[in-house]
Amino acid sequence: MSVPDEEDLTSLQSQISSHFFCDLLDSVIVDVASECHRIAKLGLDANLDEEDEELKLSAQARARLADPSNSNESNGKYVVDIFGQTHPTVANEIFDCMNCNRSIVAGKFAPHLEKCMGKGRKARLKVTRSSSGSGSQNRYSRGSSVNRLANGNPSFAGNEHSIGSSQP
Amino acid sequence: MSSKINGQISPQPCPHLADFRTTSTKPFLSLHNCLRIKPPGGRASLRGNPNELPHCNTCGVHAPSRLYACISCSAVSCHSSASGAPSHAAAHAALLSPAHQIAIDIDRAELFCCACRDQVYDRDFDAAVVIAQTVASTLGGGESTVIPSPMPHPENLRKRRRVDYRPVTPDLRERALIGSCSAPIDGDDSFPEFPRGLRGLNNLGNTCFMNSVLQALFHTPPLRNYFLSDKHNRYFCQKNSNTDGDDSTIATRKKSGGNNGKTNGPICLACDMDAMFSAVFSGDRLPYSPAKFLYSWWQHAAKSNLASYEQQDAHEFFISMLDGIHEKVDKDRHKTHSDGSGDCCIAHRVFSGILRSDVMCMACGFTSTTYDPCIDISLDLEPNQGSSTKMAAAASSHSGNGEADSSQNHGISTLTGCLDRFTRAEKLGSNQKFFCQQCQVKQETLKQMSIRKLPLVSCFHIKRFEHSSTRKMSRKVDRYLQFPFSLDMSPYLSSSILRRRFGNRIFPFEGEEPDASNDLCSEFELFAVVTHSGKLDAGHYVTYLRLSNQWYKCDDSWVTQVDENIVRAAQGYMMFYVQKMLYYKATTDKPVA
Repeated sequence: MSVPDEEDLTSLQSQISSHFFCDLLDSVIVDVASECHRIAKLGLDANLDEEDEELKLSAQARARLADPSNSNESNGKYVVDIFGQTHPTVANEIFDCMNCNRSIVAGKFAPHLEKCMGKGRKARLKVTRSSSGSGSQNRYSRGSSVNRLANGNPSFAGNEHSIGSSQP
Repeated sequence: MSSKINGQISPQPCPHLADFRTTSTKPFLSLHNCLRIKPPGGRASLRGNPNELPHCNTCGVHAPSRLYACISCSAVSCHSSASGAPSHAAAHAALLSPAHQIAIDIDRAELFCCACRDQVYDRDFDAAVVIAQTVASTLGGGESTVIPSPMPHPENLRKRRRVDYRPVTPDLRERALIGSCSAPIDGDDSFPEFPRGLRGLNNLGNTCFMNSVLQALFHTPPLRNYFLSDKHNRYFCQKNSNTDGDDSTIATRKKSGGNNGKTNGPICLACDMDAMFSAVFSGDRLPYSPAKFLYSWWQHAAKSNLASYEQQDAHEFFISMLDGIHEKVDKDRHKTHSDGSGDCCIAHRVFSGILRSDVMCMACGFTSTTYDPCIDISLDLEPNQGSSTKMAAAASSHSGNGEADSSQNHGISTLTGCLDRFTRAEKLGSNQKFFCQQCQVKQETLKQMSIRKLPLVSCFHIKRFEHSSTRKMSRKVDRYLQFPFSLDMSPYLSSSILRRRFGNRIFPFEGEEPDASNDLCSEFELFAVVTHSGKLDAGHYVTYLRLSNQWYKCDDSWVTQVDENIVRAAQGYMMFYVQKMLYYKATTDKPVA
């Protein structure tokens, strides 16, 4: 048999590669079909309906919230709470500090305690270049710190989980 | 019908398979010698010889999509019905019927009934496959143990039976005891229509991070029950500590500085919790100031440099205070958290679970397993390509109205999607090769997490805050995350993950018990959501509580009632789920479940 010429060769090649591709594709399709068949027959997908339901409820909730015609109180200012009480922006209950025994207003207790216990970073903060030199001014103008990553454990491939940060 | 075992349906065999099982002398289990397992995924195929190239006996074709080996005579035939004529496998079955109707798909190790023209399932066959897969993934390939050590002793797992909810009626003796040793506090509550324990917390100066977590903890059923049952009595505890006179007491007194007249001995966060529970459940509805607790916690947190006036992270606070409760108790009883049994303290008893980590060698399939206790699960919130794979399957299998909803939901991140990602097998980079004991060289590996033991209360923390010291920047991820009110955790258990890894075979994996208690243990109900709104450095935490199926918003001192849709649409940061059987309405009605 004579050697096939150029055209025949390419068409043969494409036939063969097409054949291989179809085989591979068939194989993949049957793989997926077989797995899904097994999952369905063994009842391993029983939760799908519940999950669908939850997703639907969630979508409805968000839609309702986005609708301006709905009067929602979630972001508005509070008038009264369920006990009929109102509360000032700064809590005004007064009690004694456990450290120094002075009377402190509740809403200012934390900053007081920090100074009182002498352990806050702010209390020992050095005056920076940009501040006006007053310690207290520096404290409040710097704003709040960044929130740290919940646990600093380096992980592989980003699959971090808390392994209970208590040191055993 | 079919019976449910190990949480999955064991389908009834078709008549041809049943027939074969009763009449055949060849047990399925002996097949495991012919099963070849391809590492690392454990995909099983049937080969008489490891290096043979199977072909159809009739037409000699090597690689059509499906080749079937007759279970009775091992004849291999192909099965392609493209031409319209019956396939060679079907022809073989018809010709030599009735004994030759069952065949095995040799590339997938699946049983096929040529008469029913459907894939069928058999417990013993699956067991043979799993045995072969297990052998391939353990050292030496010869051991029959399924799970290598170390493994928590089964007793630690504290098998939980279903507990029926019954209201308590004290008997005569108990009534006498109650009458003489206690006084009712009903009279103090001017709002009996609202559940007890619902009380605002004063913000003491950017302490909403603490208030939000405390609100969730006050209504964590096992924790609430523990403290309200007087299991940690702060008076006894302090009395015991004061009479100890050990070094720790003296050291703490020296450390506190200032006037120590008010500090009664060493810091005990559990005592402070006890005091707060008493106050919050007292019936007094004026907002409570958790000042003493803040003081105690700050002293504990000072060791890890968390104590500062600036805004803190609620999740860090949560971990820190559980650690504080543990530490105090740990000193007393010298029990550690390392086995995850929760015997060490109430904090771990409630929140501690066990995570399983499998590292599989890509070359030989050898799997190394470790167990670690965990208090919560931190999940990445990455751009999600839609819902979980289960949803994708649903989108194709459910017709009609299901389709519209699923397409709408693509692009939304979900808690179950995050859990799917958390438990998926992940290929570690080539720069993180592990030493494989079987290959005796460093190989690329596949790592997969799963939950070996579920805690009583699951806390999911969404990693919305990223702080990168290398890039000197931090950011907050505001993307919405859908979370369900009822959550089934069984797909994330080690047993389910293992089962999926081994092809969803019918087999009891990883300590599964053949009764229904497993299903109940993995059903969880949402009871608290801590949300964060605002920017990374100027934000606000708020907690939503679910009490008697009504949602309340706890915003520092403000407690208001909200519709559940508000909660569904909120930006969840920490979600608290409790095992369904522990979650019951605090009324005389039937339980929620």
